[in-house]
Amino acid sequence: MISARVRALENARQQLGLMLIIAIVAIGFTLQTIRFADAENLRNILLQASATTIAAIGMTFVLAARGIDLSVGSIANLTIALAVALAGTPLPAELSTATDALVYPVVIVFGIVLGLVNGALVNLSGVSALIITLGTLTLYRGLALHLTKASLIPLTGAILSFARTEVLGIDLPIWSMGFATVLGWYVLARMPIGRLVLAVGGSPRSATETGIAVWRVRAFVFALSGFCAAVSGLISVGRVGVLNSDLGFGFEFTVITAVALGGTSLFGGRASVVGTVLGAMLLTVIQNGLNLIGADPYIYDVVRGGILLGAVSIDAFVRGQRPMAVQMSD
Amino acid sequence: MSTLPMKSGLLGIVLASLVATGAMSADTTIGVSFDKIEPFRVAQKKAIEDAAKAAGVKVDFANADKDAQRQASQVDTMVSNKDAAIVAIPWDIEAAVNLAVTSIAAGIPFVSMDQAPADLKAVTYHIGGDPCTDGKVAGEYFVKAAAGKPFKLLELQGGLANDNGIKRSKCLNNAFVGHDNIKVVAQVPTDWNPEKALAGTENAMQAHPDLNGIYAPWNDALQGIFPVLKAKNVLLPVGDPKHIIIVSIDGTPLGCKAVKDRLIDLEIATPVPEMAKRAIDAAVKAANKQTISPQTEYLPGIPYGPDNVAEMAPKIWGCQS
Repeated sequence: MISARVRALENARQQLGLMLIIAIVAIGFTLQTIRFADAENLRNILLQASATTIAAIGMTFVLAARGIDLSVGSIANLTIALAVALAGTPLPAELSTATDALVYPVVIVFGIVLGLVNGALVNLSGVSALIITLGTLTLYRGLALHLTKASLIPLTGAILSFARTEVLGIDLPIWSMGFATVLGWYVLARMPIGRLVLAVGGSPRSATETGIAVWRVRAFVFALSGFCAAVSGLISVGRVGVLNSDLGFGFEFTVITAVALGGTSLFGGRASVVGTVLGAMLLTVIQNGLNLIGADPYIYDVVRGGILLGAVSIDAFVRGQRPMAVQMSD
Repeated sequence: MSTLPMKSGLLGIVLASLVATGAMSADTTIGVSFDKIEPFRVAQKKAIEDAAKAAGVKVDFANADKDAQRQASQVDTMVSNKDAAIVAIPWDIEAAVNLAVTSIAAGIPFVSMDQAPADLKAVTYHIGGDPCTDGKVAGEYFVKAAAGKPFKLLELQGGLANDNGIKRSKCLNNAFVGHDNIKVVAQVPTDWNPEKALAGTENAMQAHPDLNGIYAPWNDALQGIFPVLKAKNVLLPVGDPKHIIIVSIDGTPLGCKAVKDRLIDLEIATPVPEMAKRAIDAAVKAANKQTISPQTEYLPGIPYGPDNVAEMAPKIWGCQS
């Protein structure tokens, strides 16, 4: 059994490795264009990373508990669609829909409810979360399409405020990301529920035998993931100012990539919120840098894939792990 | 005197005229498989339904939701259901060739619409917009607007793996050959996603605050562009000295509104109703074993701008709402 101290050391090494990668990538882009390294671009990176980071923090808890939530993008889409349907007033002359402050409770409540539905289905069916959330990914997205009739709905009013408000000169999504990071880290590392999440992820059977209400922990992590996905939806839709049928499409892959890069095990029991944040930052820095240097559009995936593979390899090296092939042959 | 020859003659005339006009019974079903469903496709779906109603046929609609495998299953089902013909907007242009071959081998005509499959000879008929001409018209507009002066352009790209995305980009850039004053400072892949268009515009304007123009090869990109320009205080009407020149393609209601609001300089509207009508007409004809000629047709977009939007509006589908 790995002690908490050893685990913390391992996480610290992991985070150091990721910081190193981000620094190398950042230096590389700065050498290409000096505009990469200025304050305005730092703001761009943080703002562009905020939606992914917040959803990824929720996903970290799900993966830590040996689950997975493929429906995050669909939850983001459906909660916004529900909010627009329930708290929006179509303005045909303007080709847009006006929204009031009611959208916020609607989005948050439905985010939690949809997450709880995922958790309940996993708990009641005993089917893998991968299959359940693959189903709800399609279901939630289908419901959103049904509600919006796949229309592009330009939005005005309160729904845009969250993504476009500054507090002390810093955008609210950036504050939210910082708050989510601190809170997520504290809950996972310092609170009893965090230990329960890791215990369930480490071994659900042992957790049950020791009296942990595994179903409650699962319900909690999926509800949290739904909440975070809904907040991400608010940021995305607020920034663009439009509800589009593509909102959240493929979002789950970006989110899971960020979490996995950050060192959270896809098999539960080991997780790092700070690592997740760094993973999301790395993904955003790559995208941002490639845009800034005017890279050939066909090279994006090559660069992204190469850097991600490099990050995983360096991480393994920093943590002193042997390649998987060697481990398997042991 | 027997009336039989006269009756037979009348019946023959009626049957012949039915075949000649391609008329089909209201029970005839045409399978329609879309690559995805989004605002532009919603307009295309309505246009297809209107055209089918006019032709007296029913449509059996399916959405592949950006999944080539799902589209293959849908086409298989339409073949099993013995639909009279299939009209598809392919998601994967290579896979579409196999879909067409399978369908035609089963005796069911296969019409591709909007997105051209990799091999046009494989389909019964193809009707599409003309992405190359649209891209070229956009490029020529930027060349004219630059008037020989240095001009920095941001090109937002749609899908890198589909016909419209590739040709709208390639032919735009072809128009710049010999015009070294036009510099495409960034080509940002967006996968037709307005959020990526927003981040791409944000980043490109960070690197090039003195940007002169933006190419938005589909109207939804405007939703990503406008918030960035507004935040930088450069969302200014056409004619303002600090206005950033924007050219877009599609002709949706939002595109039309942006032109009317003088926020974009040129819009190239895809003739959606005409495209749908020709697709359905061809499907009906092919189901009646009639020859279709030409086998491939492209409909170039209709360019219009703030100065002639009032005059052009009746021809633009997005200006009708």
